[in-house]
Amino acid sequence: MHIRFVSAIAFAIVAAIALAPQALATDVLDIGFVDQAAIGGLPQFVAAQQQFSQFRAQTARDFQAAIKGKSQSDQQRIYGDFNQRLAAKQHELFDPLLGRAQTAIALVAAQKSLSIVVDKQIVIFGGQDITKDVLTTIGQQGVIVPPVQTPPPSSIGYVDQTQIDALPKAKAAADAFQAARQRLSQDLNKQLAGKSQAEQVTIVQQFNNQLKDEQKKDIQPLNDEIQKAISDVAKKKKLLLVVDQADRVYGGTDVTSDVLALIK
Amino acid sequence: MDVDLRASIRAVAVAACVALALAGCTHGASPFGSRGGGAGYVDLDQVVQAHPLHTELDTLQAQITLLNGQAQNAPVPQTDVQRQAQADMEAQLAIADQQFQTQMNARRTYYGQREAAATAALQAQASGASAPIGQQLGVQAQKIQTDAMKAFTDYQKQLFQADNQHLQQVARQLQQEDGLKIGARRAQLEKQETDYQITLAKQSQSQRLNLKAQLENLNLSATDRQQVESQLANIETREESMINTLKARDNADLKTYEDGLQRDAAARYNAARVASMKQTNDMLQARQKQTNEQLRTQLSGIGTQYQQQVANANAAIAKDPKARAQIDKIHNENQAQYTIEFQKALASYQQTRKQLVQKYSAIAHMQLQDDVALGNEVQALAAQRRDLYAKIVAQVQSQIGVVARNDGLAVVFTNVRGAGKAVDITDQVVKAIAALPAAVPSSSSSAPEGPSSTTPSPSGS
Repeated sequence: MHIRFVSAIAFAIVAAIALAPQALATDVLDIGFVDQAAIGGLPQFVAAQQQFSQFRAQTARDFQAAIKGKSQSDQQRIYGDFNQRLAAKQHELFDPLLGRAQTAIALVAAQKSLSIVVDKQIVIFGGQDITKDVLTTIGQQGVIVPPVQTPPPSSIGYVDQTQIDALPKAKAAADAFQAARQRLSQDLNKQLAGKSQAEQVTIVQQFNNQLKDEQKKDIQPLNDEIQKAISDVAKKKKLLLVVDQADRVYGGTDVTSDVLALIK
Repeated sequence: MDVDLRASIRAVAVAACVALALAGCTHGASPFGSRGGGAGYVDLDQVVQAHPLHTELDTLQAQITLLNGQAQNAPVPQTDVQRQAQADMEAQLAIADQQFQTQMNARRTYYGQREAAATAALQAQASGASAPIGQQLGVQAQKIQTDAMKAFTDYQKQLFQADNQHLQQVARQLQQEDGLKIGARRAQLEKQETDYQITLAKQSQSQRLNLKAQLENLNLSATDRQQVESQLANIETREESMINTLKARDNADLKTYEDGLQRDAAARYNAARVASMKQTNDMLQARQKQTNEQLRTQLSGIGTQYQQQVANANAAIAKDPKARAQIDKIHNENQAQYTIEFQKALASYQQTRKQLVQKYSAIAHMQLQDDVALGNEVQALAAQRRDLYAKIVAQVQSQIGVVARNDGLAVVFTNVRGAGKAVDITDQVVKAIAALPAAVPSSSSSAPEGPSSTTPSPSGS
């Protein structure tokens, strides 16, 4: 009895050791990723892309014919009209396909109890690859029934960079850097003219260094501020980390408004 | 529970706690989240920059930037002579490029066919056939296609002939019907004209008899006689005129009737022609469909036989190291010969381009630039950079996997915008990467100048 009881506890220790890494991983088992390039490579997406390319080429020809002999303001109006036509066609061709893909991802994520699905490119190690399941689901006949439940709360946050870029201070920083880049590029072209290859190498290196300096001066302070704000929000909300919304495919915790509130 | 047992349990419990703690240490993480709950992140750019081969990436990028700069700063012809020289040079360069591409395409096709023929002969030998695999089946397939085409053409001719006969018959019948109708109408009108003539004669009969009786009177003076004769002539002239008027009207009527009949006949003929043509087309389409299905079935059977023969030959070759070696030898020989030819032709092509640039630079009295060669050089460098970057990233990912496993991380992200509880393993990975030998061979100094579409492969087109 005595020996058996001690053995049982010893077994529990061994089990505890064996299970320890899994216990560590329980927090992150609900993270999935999908290869969006593989979805884009499906025949229906390729066909839609080809159709859109043809439409765009035809629209470009029509546009050139339409602006012939027109005033500047008319040309701008026509340009707006044609852009709207392009956007409408794009929606017409891709919205149903993207909607189906999104529903398939949601369904697979729900079946696997994932709290977030991100793009494959940002997961270097681990995570659940759901690409195959998503492709199979998209390829099935008939309507894909969306899952009833919403994704569970996720320990991975995401932030919408476009909203941050729209802030006045972000716009001002981007404009300052763009102006500096333009000025440096013009200088570079002037300096390269008539120089030997060895001299040109040095000039290009100088250009790259100057560009880096400009970036440090104009962009870096704001980038640091944004990153600090994101990290602060992540810590406050007890998140593991925050990714860009462009890399998030489904689920996750949106922290954009919290970040904006901090950096405004 | 005795004291010894309690002591044992306590000891084991302590050991369990120690084991758990050690497990946490071994994996570099605690189950309570101090190591990020199993999630890590890495700054991939920083790690790639720490790679021993990153300087090569920078060198390649600098070369690309330099060439792009050269392309942007190309000297611009100022005079008409210079502009003409540049245009002539570009035209000559385009011709040289076209000739090179055509020459290489022809050589690729030649070596591809030569390799395919040699391989087919070897496959036939391996499967015990007397002729190359597919040759006999190809003849069979061709015969089936020719026979089917002939049968279809014969059927088509037969239908067209029947159509012609039928339409000729329709035309004859319409002609006969119209002839009969016109004849009947003509007879009817002629009868009406005769009746009218008789009616007129009857109407003037008493007057005419009276006038004739007056003329028989011998005592009639010459003047009176002339007057009576004139009256009699008037009657005949009037009647003749009235008859002629009627005949003219009848002729016009008959002409209208004939025209109407001809229009009607043409429409009926056309309807018959369209109906006949549709029927013939339907029959031809049905026959074509039937022929295609028969062909598909027969050719599919031949295709299956061919696949089977190839599979048998390949299976035989797979068991025969000598045959396998021969196939490899055929491929390698073709590849090697093509590569020699390609390199030779490429060198000659590049020399031609340089000479053309020199020639027209001399004519223009300025240094002209070969934009295509420059573009190709940029493309080749960019491809090298891409390859090198991919190799570096693959090594980096592998090292990240090692670090993650050692740290007990279940998932590692990159491109993160901000971290909460996740662990930054960038420094660890940088150290691991920096310790790697510069194992990936550099190829930045051997940038080929040739067109990118001319990869030296006999079978690639």
